[in-house]
Amino acid sequence: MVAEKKNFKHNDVETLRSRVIVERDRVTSTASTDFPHNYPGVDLAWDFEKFKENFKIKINRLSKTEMEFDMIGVDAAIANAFRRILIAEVPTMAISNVFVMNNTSVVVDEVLAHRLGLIPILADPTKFDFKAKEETPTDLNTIVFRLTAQCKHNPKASSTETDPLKKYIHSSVYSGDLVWDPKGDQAERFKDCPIKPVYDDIVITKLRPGQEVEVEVHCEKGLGQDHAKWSPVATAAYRLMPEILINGEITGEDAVKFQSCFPEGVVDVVVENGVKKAVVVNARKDTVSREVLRHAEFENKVKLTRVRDHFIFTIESVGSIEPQDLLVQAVQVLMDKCAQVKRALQATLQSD
Amino acid sequence: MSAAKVRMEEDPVEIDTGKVTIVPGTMTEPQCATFCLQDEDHTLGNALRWTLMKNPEVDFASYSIPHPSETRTNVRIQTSDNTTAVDAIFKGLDDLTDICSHVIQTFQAELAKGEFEYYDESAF
Repeated sequence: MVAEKKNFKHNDVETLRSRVIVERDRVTSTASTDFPHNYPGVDLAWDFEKFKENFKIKINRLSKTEMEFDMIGVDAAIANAFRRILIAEVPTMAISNVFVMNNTSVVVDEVLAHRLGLIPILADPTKFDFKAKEETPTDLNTIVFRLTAQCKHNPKASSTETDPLKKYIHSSVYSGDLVWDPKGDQAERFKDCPIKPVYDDIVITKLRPGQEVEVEVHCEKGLGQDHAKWSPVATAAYRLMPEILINGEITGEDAVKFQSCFPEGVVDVVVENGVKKAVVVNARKDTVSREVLRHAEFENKVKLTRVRDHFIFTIESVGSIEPQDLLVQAVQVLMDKCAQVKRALQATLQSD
Repeated sequence: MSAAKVRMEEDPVEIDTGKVTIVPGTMTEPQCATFCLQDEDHTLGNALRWTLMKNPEVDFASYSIPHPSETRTNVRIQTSDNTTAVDAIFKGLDDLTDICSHVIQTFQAELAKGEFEYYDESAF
């Protein structure tokens, strides 16, 4: 099943097998049916060599925190496993204990603790162990930060100043005010990449003269399935590649109308022998709004589908792990799961 | 946290035999069994179901989460006489591992090629 350009056909077996069909009022052919014995004469048994031949990854764009890539030739069950792991099962470090020495700000202790917890921490989680509840904190499972801030009047500010940032000193407490307190050999281990919050400009609380905050926080390794603060991604999502099939030709003023049914850049109007003609140039940009299916003149002339095994993946990292490493770690987690189940089943069989 | 804890443990001596059990009474013959996976969900359940169904010797493969507040998944397998349910689940897990390692390989090869747009968000 490869995503090659298809001709306009009405729900033949091949279309039903490889495409999700988007109709005016419903979406059909949603379930994948690529299993042995389903289609006479088609061998759909698992074949690793065939999989290797068909499977493709194409990275479209990459930045420090974001990546978009196409994953082609894999079933939704597998792609969805990667997506779910990215959101909930790739470990990261996050603040999980807050010890409040003093807090006279307007933000109460528990809200302050919650806000601190959500700050992304730039630390390599692979260099730390999970800490069980009964375990004592050590330099291998805990990172310590201190946060002390006191607000005062700014003696240099003019008496008519109204901007609190100029009128007071330390009127806002930022994530950048968290000071890492290395324990054990952490200073040595992380000398190349000192541990700090990913962003220094996240407001934690605001203060006025006389108010102060003094806390110690402990970061632990955790998973997104326990709390969203451990999720390494803001979003990890995929959509299927849209496909627009035209039956015959759409010409004249209809072509212009056809073009206006899609987002910019999806359909071009070209002039051939003095006649305007609609041509699909970039179906990827389509939002599959189905606007085109509302117009009587395009009935039976256009068919919207999505390629069942072509996933357009977007990973938006929270900043602590780069997106290209995130995908590799997520796939690794699924492999570890398999290995763990295998070992456990072997042990269970032996003990019986 | 317990799932994560066990997963990260590299020491093969510490295997939790409660992780995978065969639901009592479901293995009336070697060709059928319901496996109960502790601390697993749709992530592994559905992916494993897919690789199992890809096996032509598997007559039936399916998974369910019996109760939303219990973190376990049941995987039901029925096979033809040419194999057993236990062999089928091992093959399913191996196939899934093969897929994963090939995905990593392909992705890293693609990354090394560098044929993509690298951009800096601060420009936005």
